Amino acid sequence: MENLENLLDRIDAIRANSVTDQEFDKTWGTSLDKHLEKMMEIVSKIDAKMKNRYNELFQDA
Amino acid sequence: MFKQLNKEEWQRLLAVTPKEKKEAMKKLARWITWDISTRGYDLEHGPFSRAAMGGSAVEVLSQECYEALFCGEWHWKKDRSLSSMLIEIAKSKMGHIRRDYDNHKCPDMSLTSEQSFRKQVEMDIAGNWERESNLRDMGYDIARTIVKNHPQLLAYLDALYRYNDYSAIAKSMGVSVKKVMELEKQLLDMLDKG
Repeated sequence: MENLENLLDRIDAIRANSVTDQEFDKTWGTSLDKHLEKMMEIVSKIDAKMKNRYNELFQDA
Repeated sequence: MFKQLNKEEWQRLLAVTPKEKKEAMKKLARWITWDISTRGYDLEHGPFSRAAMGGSAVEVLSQECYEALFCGEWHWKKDRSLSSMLIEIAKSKMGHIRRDYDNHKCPDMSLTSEQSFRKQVEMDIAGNWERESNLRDMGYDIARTIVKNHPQLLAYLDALYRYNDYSAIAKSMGVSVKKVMELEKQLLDMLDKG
């Protein structure tokens, strides 16, 4: 076997994979897709803010 | 004073593709769900309840972990995926939330707004790094060598890389999911010593 994911990442992947879409839905009362849709909007806002911060920090560099 | 991200780290974070981000956030959301439910917390009471978190724990934690990527040196090494780094931050943050709750019944300090807390998480990750980097370098082959006298752990290790979730691993080995989780713990304990 080559290029194996390291052991700790593999174990975390198994943990994450073991949560089915149905379980996610049942736990949070929303689907994983809906959750992701919402999170990606938030992520975009954070990215925009951070892009500005990066420009402030390094514009002179 | 916080260690700031350097220019390369900033650029690396800003260059992550939307697809990679979405995959990482998906993995993080599932991992958080797994962590809360396996540790026996429910969402009506306790540190991860809506009241304690000020919203849905999976949303609050996902957002704070993502924001935390931009806060200081997180040891996000080049060979490490974004999801792996986000999960590392989540592990630290959720560990602190649990301990604060158990000690003071006073959950949730915000990772990104509370400076001393953020510092704690940062120190956690730095402290874990050395131990972790040994384990991380320890791939499948070395792990096999260390557990070579334990047939069940060898079988688990093989199954871990062949199947993608606990129930598939358990089924392939003819044991319960609980047993698989015990083997996982046993393996990690042995590698820690090894």
